[in-house]
Amino acid sequence: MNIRKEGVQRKIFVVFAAFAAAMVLVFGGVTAGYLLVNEVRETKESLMTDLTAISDQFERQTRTVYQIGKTVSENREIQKALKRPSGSMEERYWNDIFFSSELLYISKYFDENISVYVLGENGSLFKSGYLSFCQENYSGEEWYQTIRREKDVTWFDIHMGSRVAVSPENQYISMGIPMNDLETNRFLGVVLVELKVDDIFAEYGKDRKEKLYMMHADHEMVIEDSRVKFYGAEKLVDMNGGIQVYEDKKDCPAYMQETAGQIRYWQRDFPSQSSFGTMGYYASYARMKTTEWILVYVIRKRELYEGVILTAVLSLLAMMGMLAATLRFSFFVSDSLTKPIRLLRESAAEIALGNLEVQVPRVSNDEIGELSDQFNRMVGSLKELLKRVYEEQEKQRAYELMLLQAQINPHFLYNTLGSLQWLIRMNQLAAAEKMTTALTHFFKTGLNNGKDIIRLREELENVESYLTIQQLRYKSKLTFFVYMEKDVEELEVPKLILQPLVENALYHGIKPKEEGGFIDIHICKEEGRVHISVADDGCGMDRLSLESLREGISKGEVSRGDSYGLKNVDERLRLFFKGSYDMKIESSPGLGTSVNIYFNVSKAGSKTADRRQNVQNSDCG
Amino acid sequence: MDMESRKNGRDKRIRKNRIIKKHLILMLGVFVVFLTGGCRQKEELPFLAFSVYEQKTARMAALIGDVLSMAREDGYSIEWRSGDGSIEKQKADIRELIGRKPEYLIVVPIQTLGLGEVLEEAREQGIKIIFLDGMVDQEEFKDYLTVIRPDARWEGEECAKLLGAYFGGTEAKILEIQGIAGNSQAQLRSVGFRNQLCEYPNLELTGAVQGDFDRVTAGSNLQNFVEKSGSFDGIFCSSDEEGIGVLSVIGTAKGTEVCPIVSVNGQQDVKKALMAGYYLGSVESSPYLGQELSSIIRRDMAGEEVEKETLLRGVMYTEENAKEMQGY
Repeated sequence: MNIRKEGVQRKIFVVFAAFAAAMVLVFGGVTAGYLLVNEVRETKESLMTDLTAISDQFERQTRTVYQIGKTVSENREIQKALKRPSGSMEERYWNDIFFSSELLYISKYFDENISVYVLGENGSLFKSGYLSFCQENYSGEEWYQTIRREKDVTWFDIHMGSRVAVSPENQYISMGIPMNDLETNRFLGVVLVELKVDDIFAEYGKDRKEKLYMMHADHEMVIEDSRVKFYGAEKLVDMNGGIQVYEDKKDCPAYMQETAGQIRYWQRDFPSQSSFGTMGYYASYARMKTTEWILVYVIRKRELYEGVILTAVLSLLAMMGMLAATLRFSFFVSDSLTKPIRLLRESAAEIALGNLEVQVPRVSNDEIGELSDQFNRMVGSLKELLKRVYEEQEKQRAYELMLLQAQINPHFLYNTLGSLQWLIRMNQLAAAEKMTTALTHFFKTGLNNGKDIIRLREELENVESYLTIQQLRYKSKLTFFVYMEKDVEELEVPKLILQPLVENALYHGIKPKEEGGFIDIHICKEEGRVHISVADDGCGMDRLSLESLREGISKGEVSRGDSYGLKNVDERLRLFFKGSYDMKIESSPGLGTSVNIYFNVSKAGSKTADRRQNVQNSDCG
Repeated sequence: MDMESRKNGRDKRIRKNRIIKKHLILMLGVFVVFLTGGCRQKEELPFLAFSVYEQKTARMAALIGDVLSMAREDGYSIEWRSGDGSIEKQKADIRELIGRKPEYLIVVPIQTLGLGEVLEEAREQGIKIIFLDGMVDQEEFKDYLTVIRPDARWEGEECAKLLGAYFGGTEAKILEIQGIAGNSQAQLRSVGFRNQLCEYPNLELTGAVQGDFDRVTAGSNLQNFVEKSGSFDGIFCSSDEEGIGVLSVIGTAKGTEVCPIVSVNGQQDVKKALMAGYYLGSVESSPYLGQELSSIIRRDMAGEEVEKETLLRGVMYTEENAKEMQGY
């Protein structure tokens, strides 16, 4: 079963991010949903609230208008003034001033947007406001006649400017009541009450997306930017700016015609205030009791949902932002948690490659920080331990080398001195002298001024001295041949590496052979390596002995009696050349034995320098 | 022959060149006319912004109506706002109008002080400011184009003269009903009235109450004055509105001795009072300033220098000539 390798950081990141993202999405989704639903509901409620407020205000003011009109029309003093026949101009004007003052003081208690006018059949003109009458007689006006015909009140839709006074360009709705004699019911004139509505529409209509309509049985009107447009049955009358422009009704916005159609269709069967929506728009309406006019707020659904869409987009952006922040935070958390672990892992890998100089930085003060410290201490301890082991090994090697060298000299000296003693007894003084000379040269080169390292040339001279000594001892039983290439003469090697091999060839190969033998020493360079061959044509070894010898040397288990010198040379060369050294032993029974040593030329030179340095260091120390 | 034919050929070429030159000049002329004509067609009339401090009185209604009529007759587009008697509202109105980037800002200031800051804002935007029916303090703002207003000081003087003539050498106490505190026209009328009154040692200024150019305020403050101290024999009102308010308080019964009231404006209600015999006189202070305004704007647009101030004087109306009164 394959287990996919996953990092701890990835696991922490995925788990943390998934959890956080889920929380964000759930929270964001619920919040956005709530906001969206709430936004639509609040917009609709706001529409209805505003409409209710404006209709209530309108209702209050129209009711006030009605009450003022009724009060004035039934005022006995005013009726009395209107019943008088047209007197002198002086008297009429005084009445006008007097009753206008009366009306002014009455109207002080009402809304300042309301003005009351009494237009008598006898020519009297009373007013509550500051504005001046624009003419002296209104009885010929159509609206005057309309009021006169009606028994009760007549409401007039929004109109630009006062019907009776010189006024700035303001919008008014007006109500007329016929003023009949309370006793005889004779028509005395009319009471006209005007309500300035600019402020109301300015308050509720300006800078809004919704259109405010006021509808009547026969026509409807829209208030845009607090200005009124009338839409008649067949044509559009634009009252904007007091300039009447007749346009085709087809220019009227379709949604507005549709709204008007809906309102007219329901007429008086629908509730006094409600909301409805169709495909393209949403409308809230309120029917006023006093005038039976209908106020309607219409908003296109596209505009209604503009806020909702904005909320949705903002919510989405906020969620995306939170999500990105969450992912970033998740990454930060997982990274901060696993960073020390990663550093430990990388440091451990470095140590595995042998680099003990690694130090894990402490990135936190928690348990992982302590772990880093402990790791660093562990690495420090390991480094110290290895250093000690290395130093011990070095000391051991040096000690062993000294021991090996010490083992060679007594062994040989004993035999040579015995032979020399024998030559002197036999009075073979020339041979004894030659042997003594060779021995002297042998020890001189062997001592090498106390140095352990020697040139191959010197080593060969040393072994020649040795062989000379042995030849004197064994006379014609031993012959030898020595060859060395010129360019390897100066290479440096541990001293006394040839003598033990020659000694073995002599004692184990030549000596047991009755007719004697021949020892060949050949030193040359082959394929970049130095090849030293010490061969004899002695009695050789059988296969089992050869295998045993090879195994003994490779395991270092050769006993003193069995080619201890060979093992001695092998260990010294192995210590000196390490991996760049090989020793091969070939032997055949009755044919002889050859020992072949191989080592790198460059290795020999550099190692020589190293060794010299080490020796100098140890001398100093 | 050769010489003659060459001469004929040269003459032909000269005539041909002349014809081509004439055509070129003609085409160039047509092109220039076309261009200048086109430029004239593209010339846009200025946008006017108009701020008044109130709109409820007959005088201000007439003034507003006259300015709007003038603007439309001259083809200007115009936006107007009413401060409804509040300086803060008027400042806000002016700021809103500045936002519409008019070429001319016409202001009927409520007071001499308080509008300097917003007027400075307008001036910084390169809007030319015209004061109508009043002005602001010179220390506060003086970089206006012109001011067109009735000669309020003269109006006050005329009122004092009328009272002086009415009382002859008889000693009398005169009460002053002052207009809106801080209004330039009210201040100048008061100064003119008081200075002129000094010419009549028999007339004593017994007191002054605030009228705010409002009939209700004037009536109420007069009642308070009467209840507290005072007797008076004649009244000077800064405006007809105040005069009507005063009349409604003191002239409640026909046939009682008439207290002479003089005021300034010449509006319809005062005309009725004059004709009914309950008012001594009113100095006409015409609200019809549109024509002067139109003339100033036209001249300024033409690059002509306009006078810094235009003072208008009306007629003193009494019972005798009341029928001639326009009575806006």
